Amino acid sequence: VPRYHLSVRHNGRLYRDEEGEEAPSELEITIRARETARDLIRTPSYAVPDWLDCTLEVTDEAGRVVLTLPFADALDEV
Amino acid sequence: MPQPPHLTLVEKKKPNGNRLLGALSDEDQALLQPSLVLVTLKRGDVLVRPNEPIAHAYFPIDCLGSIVALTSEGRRIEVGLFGRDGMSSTSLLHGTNVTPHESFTQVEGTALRMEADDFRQAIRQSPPAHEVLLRYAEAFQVQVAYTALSHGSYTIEERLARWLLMCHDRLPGDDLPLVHEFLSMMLGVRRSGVTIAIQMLEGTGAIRATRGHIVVRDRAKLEQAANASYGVPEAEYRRLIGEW
Repeated sequence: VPRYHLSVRHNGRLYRDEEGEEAPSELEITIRARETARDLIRTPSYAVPDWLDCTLEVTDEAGRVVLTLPFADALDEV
Repeated sequence: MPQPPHLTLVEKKKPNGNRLLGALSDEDQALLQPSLVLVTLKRGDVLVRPNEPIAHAYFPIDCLGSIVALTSEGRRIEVGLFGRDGMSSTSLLHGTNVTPHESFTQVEGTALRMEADDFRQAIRQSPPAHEVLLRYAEAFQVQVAYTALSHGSYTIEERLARWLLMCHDRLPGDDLPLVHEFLSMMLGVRRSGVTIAIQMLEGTGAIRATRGHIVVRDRAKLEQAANASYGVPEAEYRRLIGEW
């Protein structure tokens, strides 16, 4: 099962997800990335005063970027 | 909010049994003693299964357990933490042997275990023992209430700091063997958010995180980071049961 890393980029700083998580496909991890962004938008953080300034960067095990998701886009219905 | 001085932990390096059992009178300790068995618990061991009769009461010595609420859709969130301060479930104290919650071992170690039937028999036999244990149930429900409050109105960084302090209170030493994949469930926050909070706390010098471990480097800084989300249940425990 492939492993993906969901890192958050905020104002030029990358909060790297070292651990990552398994997902059966890129489609599945895309769905999870959207859920992650939508959940985090509701979660207050000192480090990130406004999640809409963030982008979620999903990479595979080889470090290839498979998705770049601005948090604002996660709010759009699909 | 500055922490009252009584919250400073005593005998942090000297785990000397379970504090809750230690709060019982000598007579009550003697009453329970023959039924207590020393067991080693591994990470992930389920101590209480949801909606199944509770088989045993566990009183941790140097392990740590979590109580989680779960839904049929697979959502899980920790609602309570117990270690040498308490026991695996308060349900038996309230006259029921079934709960919708699950209790499992978060950090491996040793505990004293008692058959549920023996436990029920003991609290029937000794009202003073039951009273002490019910005071723990009261302290525990205050902890649960403050977990709800902290999930509802504090930042990820404050919530992580509070939770690490709660683990630090219940485990010997400063090296907390916590698997990061659990942190997300414990805090009810997506892993990407937990990563940010860990890095923030590392930046203040309060902790150092490595794979499978979080080391408390500066407890005072951790208390500062938790703000007022930490402290009230701990003060209640001290009032109702005694020193940590």
